Amino acid sequence: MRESTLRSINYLAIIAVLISLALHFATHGFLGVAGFEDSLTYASVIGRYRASITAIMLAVLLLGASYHGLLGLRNILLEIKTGRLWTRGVTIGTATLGAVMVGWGLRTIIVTITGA
Amino acid sequence: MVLETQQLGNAKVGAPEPRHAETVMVKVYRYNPRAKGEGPKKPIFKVPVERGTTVLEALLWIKEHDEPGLALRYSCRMGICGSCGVLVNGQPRLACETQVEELDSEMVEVGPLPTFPLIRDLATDFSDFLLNHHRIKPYLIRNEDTIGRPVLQELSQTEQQELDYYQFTMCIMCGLCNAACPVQATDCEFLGPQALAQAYRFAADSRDQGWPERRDVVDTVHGCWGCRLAGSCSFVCPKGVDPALGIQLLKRRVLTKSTRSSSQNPKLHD
Repeated sequence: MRESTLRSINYLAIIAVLISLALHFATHGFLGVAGFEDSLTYASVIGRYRASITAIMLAVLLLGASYHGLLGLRNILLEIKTGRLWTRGVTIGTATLGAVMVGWGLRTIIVTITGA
Repeated sequence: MVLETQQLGNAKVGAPEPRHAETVMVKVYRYNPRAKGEGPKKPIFKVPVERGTTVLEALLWIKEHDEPGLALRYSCRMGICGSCGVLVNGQPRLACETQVEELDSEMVEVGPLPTFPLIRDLATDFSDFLLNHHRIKPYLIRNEDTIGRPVLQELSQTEQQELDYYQFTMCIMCGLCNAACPVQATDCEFLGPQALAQAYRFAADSRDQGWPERRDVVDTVHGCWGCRLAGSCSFVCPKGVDPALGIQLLKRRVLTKSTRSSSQNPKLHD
């Protein structure tokens, strides 16, 4: 994959993170809750997770933040050391780490939604 | 006159001297990596100066009177060839275009350009720099060339089309931008601001059709995406070129211009 494709996805991820993070904070402040403390009660959290729009928002936040963060980590690691093998290793390593993070996060969201 | 630091202290010549003395202390980095057992030295020389004396002239005075073995590179002495780039008081500059007076300092410290491998004293190795310049294909590429027919017609350009890349044609390849670049200092595979700005210079030229080839070179993590936009390259450029701008425009071009749509075809005139 071209570097410009990775960066284009990153720009989209940044926008997605900004929007979903704003919504996330809003749901903890004034959207459907009496206040911040109310938003952190067990019933409130589970209730939000089971609303499909909130679950989608959390999934988008998870995907966007993971992609953005791990692309940044990859760039830092590629600046520390150079070489074809290192570049390949770092790219595969960060992609694998991202897949694990996203997989685990999505599993948590799905398990909570389904109530399993 | 060469003076060691201790001698300077004893003779009290290290203290600021009044302007009418018309001398300046020049501390010059001296090191030969091939000479085993000898570390870098920074001897101090007392050099006579007058209005308009440049750092290059001061270095040549030292070479003529005190240190005939001092290695430095220079040629035109008028800011055209780009050979005499050195670090003057911590900033990459052309020695021939830097007047001692403008530095407003009693001590002028001259060293080799950082980020370049050292050959000896102030002379640095430009091999990688020139290789990176070569990698971006710094010439006009036409599709006709690839099918073996030479371009025999005039390729017209509007004034705006020329202005799109004009400032980047002013580059004299002195390497000061690469010496000032913090990314270049840490990433040895980074193409560098000079090569990337030149890649934009040809990519933005309406006569050029070589974008697919150039894109493969610049669209990498060590290409235009390696730039962190520190802007120091533009700050030190002696010719007023803005390589940082060129790199950002190159990024935009990489994102917005596909390889298919890059084949510009300006109107041909007989």
